[in-house]
Amino acid sequence: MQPYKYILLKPDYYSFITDAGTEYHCYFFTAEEIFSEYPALAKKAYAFNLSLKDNISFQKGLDKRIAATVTDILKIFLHQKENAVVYICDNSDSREKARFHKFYHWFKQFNDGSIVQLRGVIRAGNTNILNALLIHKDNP
Amino acid sequence: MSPLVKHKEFPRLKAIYFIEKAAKVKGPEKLLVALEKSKYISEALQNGLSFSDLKELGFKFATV
Repeated sequence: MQPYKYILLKPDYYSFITDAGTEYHCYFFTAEEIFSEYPALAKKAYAFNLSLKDNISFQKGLDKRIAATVTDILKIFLHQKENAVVYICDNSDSREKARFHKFYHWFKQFNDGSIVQLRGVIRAGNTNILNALLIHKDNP
Repeated sequence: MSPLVKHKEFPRLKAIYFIEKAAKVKGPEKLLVALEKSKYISEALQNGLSFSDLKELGFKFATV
């Protein structure tokens, strides 16, 4: 399965266009506030988002190349072995469980074993936050 | 005659807002703040703000 060719718009985001013409943006942003009690870790912590360039509905059907592309970008980002990436499932539309499972299966299918994925559900207030922590297997 | 429609400008929150908010809570609550920040960035981009705009507000992005 070949990932889509993506463009790196340094230092902000990655972009790719699917066969159906949908443009996606992948970006990593600092998430130091999560680990503020652990300053050394906080400097290496990033959160990850995947979003559509234009606010249009997702294409119907399954395009596995999207999964291959996103996994590829994450692997490259985590190749810098000290980085850690947190994926927090958006719950605005109550579809966080679907995102949680989709992300897990994307990674299960396309991870070459170099990335460790730790999934969890954290209760905060009245909200269950579905999240995953991704690190390189050789992360010190 | 079409009525005038005034669009509200998307609020520009500084990154420090989320850092200070997270500093006031402990443990799992910090993840709630991170989720709020994630949603804010996503919505800001969908509502016309650019990565440059967000960087001016203090948000930091990374690529390799």
